Order: sequence, then C-alpha cells, then structure tokens
Amino acid sequence: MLTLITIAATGIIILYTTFFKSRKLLVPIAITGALTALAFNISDWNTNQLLFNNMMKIDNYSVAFNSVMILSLILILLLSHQYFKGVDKNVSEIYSLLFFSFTGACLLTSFNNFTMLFIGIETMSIPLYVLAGSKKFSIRSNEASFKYFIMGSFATAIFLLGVALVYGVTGSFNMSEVSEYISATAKISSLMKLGILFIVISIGFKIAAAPFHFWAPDVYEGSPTLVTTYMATVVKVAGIAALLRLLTGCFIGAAAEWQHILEAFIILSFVIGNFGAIQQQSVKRMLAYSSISHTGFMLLAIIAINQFSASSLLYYSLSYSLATIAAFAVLILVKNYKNSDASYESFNGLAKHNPFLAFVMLTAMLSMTGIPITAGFFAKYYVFLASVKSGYSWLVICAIIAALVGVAYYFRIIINMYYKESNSEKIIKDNYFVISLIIATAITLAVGILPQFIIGLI
Amino acid sequence: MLANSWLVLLFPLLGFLITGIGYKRLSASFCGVFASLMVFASFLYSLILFIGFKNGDSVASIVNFADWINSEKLNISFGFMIDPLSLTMMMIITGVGFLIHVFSIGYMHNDLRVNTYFSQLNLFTFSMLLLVMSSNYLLMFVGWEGVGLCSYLLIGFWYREKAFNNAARKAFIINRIGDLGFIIGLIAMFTCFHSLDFTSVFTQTLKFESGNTIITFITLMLFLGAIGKSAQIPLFTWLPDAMAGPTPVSALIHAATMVTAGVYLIARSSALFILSPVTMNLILIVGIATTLLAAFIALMQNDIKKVLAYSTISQLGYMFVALGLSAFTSSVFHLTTHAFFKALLFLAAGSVIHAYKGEQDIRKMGGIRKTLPLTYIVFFTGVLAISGIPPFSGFFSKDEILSAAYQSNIFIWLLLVIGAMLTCFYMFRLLFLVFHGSNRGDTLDIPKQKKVMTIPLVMLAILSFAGGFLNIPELFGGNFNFTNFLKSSVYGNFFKNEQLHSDQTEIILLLTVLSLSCITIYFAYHKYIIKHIIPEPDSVQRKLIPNVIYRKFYVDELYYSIIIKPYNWIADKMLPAIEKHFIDFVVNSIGVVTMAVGNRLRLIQTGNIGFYMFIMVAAIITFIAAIVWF
Repeated sequence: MLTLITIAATGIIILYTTFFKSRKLLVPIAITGALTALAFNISDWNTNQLLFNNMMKIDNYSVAFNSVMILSLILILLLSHQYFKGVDKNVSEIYSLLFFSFTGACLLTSFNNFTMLFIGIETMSIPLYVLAGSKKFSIRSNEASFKYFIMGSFATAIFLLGVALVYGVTGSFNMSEVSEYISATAKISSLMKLGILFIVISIGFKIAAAPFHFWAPDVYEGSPTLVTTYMATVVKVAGIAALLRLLTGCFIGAAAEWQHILEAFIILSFVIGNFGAIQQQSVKRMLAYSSISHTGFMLLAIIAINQFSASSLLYYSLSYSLATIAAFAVLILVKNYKNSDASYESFNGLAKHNPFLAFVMLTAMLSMTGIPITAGFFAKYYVFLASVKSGYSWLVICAIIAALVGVAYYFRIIINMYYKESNSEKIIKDNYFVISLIIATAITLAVGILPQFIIGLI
Repeated sequence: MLANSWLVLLFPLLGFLITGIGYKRLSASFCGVFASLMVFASFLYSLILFIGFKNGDSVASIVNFADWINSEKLNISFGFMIDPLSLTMMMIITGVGFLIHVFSIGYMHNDLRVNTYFSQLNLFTFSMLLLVMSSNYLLMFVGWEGVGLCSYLLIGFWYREKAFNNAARKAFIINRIGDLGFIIGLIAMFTCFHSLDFTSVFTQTLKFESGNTIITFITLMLFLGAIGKSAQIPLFTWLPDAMAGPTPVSALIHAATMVTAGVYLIARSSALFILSPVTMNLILIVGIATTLLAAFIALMQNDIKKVLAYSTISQLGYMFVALGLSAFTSSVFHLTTHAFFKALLFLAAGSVIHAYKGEQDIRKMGGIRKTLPLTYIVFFTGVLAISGIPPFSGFFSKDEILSAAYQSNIFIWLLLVIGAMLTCFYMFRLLFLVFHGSNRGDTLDIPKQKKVMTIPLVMLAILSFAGGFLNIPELFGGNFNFTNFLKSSVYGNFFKNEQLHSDQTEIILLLTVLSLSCITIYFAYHKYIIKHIIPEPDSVQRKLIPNVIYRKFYVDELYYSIIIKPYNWIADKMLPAIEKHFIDFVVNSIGVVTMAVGNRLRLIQTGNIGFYMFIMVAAIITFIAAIVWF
C-alpha cells in the first residue's frame, strides 16, 4: 500500500514544484519517488496482504509486476530530462500525470475486486488521454489524444457492461466470490459468457490485441515519443498482468470459454502486427505494430493458464519493456538529431559515429527478435514452453512463424545501422540518457544469460 | 573458499570487459599490466583452491553458482567442478597464461591494437577456464566455443593481411566440423542419460556394459570434437596455418592450452570412454598416426613456427596415444610438461623472430646464440625437455607414455620410439640452424632484451626443467605424486602404479630410447654443425620422398581436390539450377506475398475513427455470434 501512496504523493509533490520554476529538480524528485516506491514495493515481498475490505490483494505476483513497471518508469524518467530540454513551457504536469497514471497501473496488478479493476483502468487511462495530446500545437498529437479518448471510452463502456452482466449472474464484485460461483455451477450461463467476453475484449483493447488494436498505430505515432514509450511498456504490462490475474483468480473455471477468444486475439495479433510492421517506412510505426505482435506472444502465456504462465509472462514483460524502452530511446535521439520522420533511412550508418547507440539498438532488436544471448530468447522460449505444456502446439507453430517474420523488420534497422553509409555525426546525449540506456542493455544481456534470476521468482 | 571459485573466472572477465570497453581511452601500458594482473589474480586464487584442496579432504566438489536453464527435463546449472583434473588445468592456464601475458607486454608494445589484443587474450583465458571448470557438458561447450572464437580472432589479429585472415577462417571452419561432432555427442548423451551433468552422467555409466552401442556413438562424437580442437588427423591442417597469429598467441592458445582441450575432454569423460573399446582403439590409432605424420612433416619445414606447430601436433598425438591406452593420468602429465616446454619454445622463437624483425625462415637465420645468449639457453632447455633427455620434464612424461605403450603392445612402443627419434632430430635441427653456424640473415639488429620478455622465459625454462619432478616414478625413488593426485578424477587403469613389468625391463627400455635419441641428435649434429648443410631453397627440385614430406604429404592439396573442388563444382552447378530457380523463387515469392498482404492489411488502418469503431463492433458481434453458435 505504501507503494501506491508514494507514487501518488510523488505526483502531487511534482505538481507543486511548478512554483519553483526549476526544471533541474524535476527528474531527481521523480526518480527518488520512484525508487522509494520500488523499495516499499520490494519490502512487500512474501507478505500476502488483503487491503481495504478485500478490495486489493498484495502478493508476490503483484510485487513482481510492479517492480518491472517501476523499473520501466525509472528508465523512462531518465530519458525525459533530455527529451524535454527544448520545450519552453512547464513540463511538471507531464511528470505528475505520468505518476497519476502509474497509480492506476499499480492497482491493475493488485486488484481483488471488479470495482478496483475499473478504478485502476480509468486512473491509468484518463491521464494518458491528456498525455497523448501533450504536444499541444502538434495536430498529430491532438488527433492521437482524441482518437484514444473516443475509443478508450468505448472500451470502458464495454467493460462496465461486462462487469454488470457478471454481477447480475453472481451478485458480487469480489473475485474470489465470482470464482467460487463459477466452480459451483455446473453449466455456465450465457449471460456469464457474455460478461466474460466483454471484460476480456475491453482489456484486450487496452493491451492493443487485434482486432481491437486500431487505436494503437495512430496513437503511438501521434503521441510524443516518450508517452508512446510509456504506453508501449507500462500500460501494456499493467493490462496484461491484470488480464492474467483476472483470468486465473476469477474466471479459471470458465477457461474453455475465454481460451477461444484469446486464440482469435493471438492469431489476429500475429497477422496484423507482423504484416503491418513489415510494410512501414517509419520506425515508430513499425514499433507500434511490433508491440501488437508482442501482445500476441504475451497472450500465449495467458492462454496456457498453468504453473508456468505467471513466471513466463513476467519474464516476457521484463524483456519486452527493456527492449522497447531502449529502442524508443535511440529513436528519440535519432529523430531529434535528424529532425526527421524517424524513417529507416535516418538510422543509416549509425554504427560509425555512434557505436554505443547502435549497440543499444542492436541489443534491443535482437531481444525483440528473440536471439540469444539477449533476454528475448528465453522470453519466447518460456512462453512457448508454457503453451506447449497446455497443448497449444499449433499456436506455438504460428508464433514461431510470426517470430520469423519479425526478423524482416527488426533486422532492417540493424542492416541500416551497420551496413549503410551516411554522413551522420556524433549525437549528443546527457548522462541520464546514457544511464538509462546502459541499465536497459545490461539487464537485457544479464537476464538473457541467467534467466533463472527472474523465472524462478513467481 | 570453494564457494567463491567463480572468482577465478571473474578476474579475466573483468580484464576483458575493462580493456575491451576502454580500448580507445586506456593507455597501452596500463592495459598490458592490468590484463596480466587479472590473470595473476586468477592464478593466485587457483593456487589457494589447490592448497585448500590438498590440505582439506581432497574430495571433488561441485559448486553451484546459479541455475542457468531450468525447463522440465533440461536442467543446466552454472556450476563448477573443482577436482584434481580441473585444478591442474586451472593452474596451467592461469600460470602459463600469466607468463605469456607478461611476455606479450614486451612483444606487442609496438602494435597499434595492443589493447584489443589484451582484451582478447583475457577473454580467451576466461573461456578456457570456463571450459575446464564447468560441472556440465553444456557449460563446457560454451567455453569450448569461446576459446574457438578467441582463437579465430587472435589468429587473424593482423587482419589486414589477407593470408592471415584466411588462416583464421580455416581454423574456424575446420573446428566447426569437430564442434558439430561435439554437439551431436551432447544431444545423444542427453537422450541417453537425461542429463549433461558430469556427476550424473558418470554415475549412470555404471549401469552400462562395455561396448554399448549408444555409448560408443557418444564417445565417437566427442572424440570428433577433440580431433578438431586438438588438431589430430584428419583435422590437423588448421594448426600450422594458425601460426599467422602473434607468437605469444601461438604459445598460449596453439601450444599450451586450447589445443589440449580435446585431451581434457576425453580425460574428463574417461568414465564414458573406457566403456567403448572401439573408440579407445580409434583414439590410439589416430594418436599414433598423427604423431608420426606430424613428426615427419616437421623434419623438412623451414619456418621456425611451423616446425613448432607440427611438433605440437605430434606431441598432442602422444597425449592421444596415452588416452587410447587409458593411461589418462599420463596423458594429462604430458599435457602439463608440454604446456611448459612448448610455451617456452614458442616464446623463445618469438624472441628470435623479434630480433630478426619478423623473419621466420630458418634458412635466413643462424648463429644467433652469441647475440641472444639467454634465449639460446632457454631454447636449449626447451629442446632438451621435448626430446626427453633426463632429467628434463619431457623425459618423465614421455617415458610414462612409452612404458604404457610397451605394456600394451611392443609394436606401438616401437612406433612411438620412432616418433621420439624424429622429435629429437627436428628439434635439434631447429636449434642448430637457428642458433649455431654463421648468420645468414641480412636484417639482424641487436635489440636490448627487455626484462618483461626475459623473466617469463626464465620462469618457463625452470618449469620445463623441473616440471617432470612432479611425477617421479618409483624407479627413481619417487612416488608418483601427480598420478596419485589426479587419480580420483579419472577412471581407467593406472599402469604406473601397478608396475607390471620389472624395474630391469624398465631400465633397458629407458636406455634403448635414450641411446637412440642420442644417436639421432648426433646425426643432426653431424649434418648441420659439422657439414654445415643448409636446407635447400624452395625452387630446388627434390627427390620423390623428400618432396612428399616437404610438401606436407600433400594433405592440404588432397583436401582441396577431394572436398573443396567437388564442393565448388556442386555449388557452381547448383547455383543456377536450385538456387536461382527454386530457392530464390520460393524465398522471393514469400517476400512478395508477405509484402502484398501487408499492403492490403495496411489499408484497413485508414485513420478514420468511425471505420475503426465499425470494425470493432463487427468483431464484437462476431465473437458473440461465435459464443452463441458453439
């Protein structure tokens, strides 16, 4: 609970720093807040607590996923200092909105009640609508914000409808009570089925699973890149963690119902994510599509619903978040330096004058593709293992094909960086930025060599 | 103390990372000293482990550092096995490695990429230590590949020279054949034992009978791996070419440590190998053939490093003979002494080459003993050691192998004695041509021998002289310290402890070998000192047999015509037929179709929010319909 309070409080404190007009303090305060939250969070390890009249449940699952998300948040905050350097107006609101949104993300990993889940989703999403439009004078940013808001509201409506149906059948918002009800009844009623469908669909929207992904490419591209990074990592991880928690904790008795829905999600995500990504000229848009494809991989862990699900999902989330942050970070630099549209060509010859950046990007791309010794290899491996155990070999075969297609667009960047000529120069980056890149790359490699540090946790 | 055995690995890894990452910023002198210190630290810790082992209960222990891969059936730990065999290898790698690092500081000081050199050398040390310390085959394979990579990098260290690059590639590709065998062996092993842990596999071997087919297959495949790494027939051709690398690299990687990895692999897996007489006989045959073939080739070589390279192959052959006779401890003993004297010979040769400004042809050398007296003395020590002259180290180790051979079959013994005589001849030929006679080189300058280069030479000379005293046989009042120390690590027979043949026979054998060696040496003396014969230039037409030997039995040419040429021919024929019309077509079609699908799919992303909502609602309706339907 202290984690949650720290995060929210940090958001408020940052809001007040506006008065000091000192931008230097922003990042240190934010990082201190996030680190304190991380410390409180880790101290909750192995203390299963039920809070607020069983509304929330802190267990190792939530602690582990919170840690991954806080790590992502810290890395993003480190990037922000340079990112906002050229911006004249006050940026402290952006930081506090990030923290407020993060409060919701933390709720999503530890809810024990549909009310809490709903509050979590909304607390996370509403600041995001604003953040997506935080580049006030960019028409793309405004468009992204508006699109996200309209479609997000639609998803929320669907979610509430689903919750209402489940409540109508069971008479409870509490997860364990719903779970008991499902296991007690022999046949699942159609109302219940519909309720489950609606809830799964709305969370599927949040994590950009096809065919509810339509907002993702447009919003990812239009939003400020830093916000996109946050959306692609923290928001997605929170959503997917919530989905697994919901399905194991509540709807496990109805697995046969939602597994079919997820099958459709997975296959469509692979198809749309990969085929969409392969045609893009903009790296940012490619990453947006590739994140749809990664949703498919993460759903594989959930559909398996066995003892490997949680740990393989945790591992995948970590490796995916790190690679995504590193990739977006390099993209930010290249884009700002070239003042370009972040096309593949702007990466040409990066390795020559910026070997460090090229190496970071290389690791990120290899990790996303799933090449050892990066974390991405074992991430895919454990996810595949989990689903094979539950008899989803055919899905794994599809996933392997999808991963193969992925090589085409991830390696394109590597080719451009290392084999194409260009007259680029050394790109300037501040220390925060470098630290963030080093942490992301180092963990990607370390965890890729010794996966047991993560995989044995939960 | 044992639990921290990962420290041994940490130091060279740190050295690699720091010198590797900071190669542009750090000064060359710092990198050399730092890299050497890291190896020295590693050596010290190995020494502490060794002393702890000797004073403790002397039982092999497994140290699990971390779990590496845990997935249902395949459980691989990041663990180390600390036992006599790995301790011996660790001491050799870090000890000899440290001396060679120090020597390199002097030898490489003029090179522009000296920092890269030291980082690669540290990486090599790390990988080699990982290879010998790991407690399972998979981790060992990681080290095995690591040393292969470093060998490739360091052979091609002067990569601007095309021939050197080709040598590096050759080494890498030929090693790949062996590595493939290793992998297949590991897969077979895993299918058979459901584990790759040493302890688990070796305990399970007790259930198998001698001559079991699957074990024979596993051991044959592992042996293939060993052949590649240790340059035995038929995969030995890469080692002479590997001399393209800097000389200290040849000393460390291609003489003292990496090439002995194959010997280590078989000694480590002795529990498996003794169950397969077929493989053991094959090892024996390959070992003898390699010993003799390489020794014959060495007789006629004129490149100082090539002679040493063939001599290394030949000595490795001796080790394999010992392995084939299941005299595993003798093999490791010879490995140890060989590491000392061959590293010494290479470093001394490096000094000579240094003095001749890079000239390696012994026809253009001579009489350098007056200019480099110290190098002369240490080289002489090395020559005496390798020739098996008592009391130098090579005498003891070679004698163990010879008497093991005698007990097995007098014919094998005879062949090995011929090998020993050839060794004496070509080593003394080298000594006489390089250090005696008149100077035939043109560009000899007189560099002041630096301390960093002379001290390692002296240390190695002392080791080459005294290394044999580690394992003095009972005949000379010793008690086989080394053998007794190693015994617990390996399975198989221990000829030397049994003393199957009497002391009298033993002495007669020794004297026979010794007198034959002396006659050979005199023959060399007569030819090169008294008659002043200098090998003929390349252009001279040689008689049939010398020509065949001079041309290295045409092995490279043979491989060229039976493998490379047909391969190129097939590739040429296949290119239009299969590649262009079939593979390219299929691949390109996949690409075209993918792109086309992508293009179509992209169109649904219209940017129109109304359209998006329409599709989403349609999808929801479809899902509902599906639920109602099923």
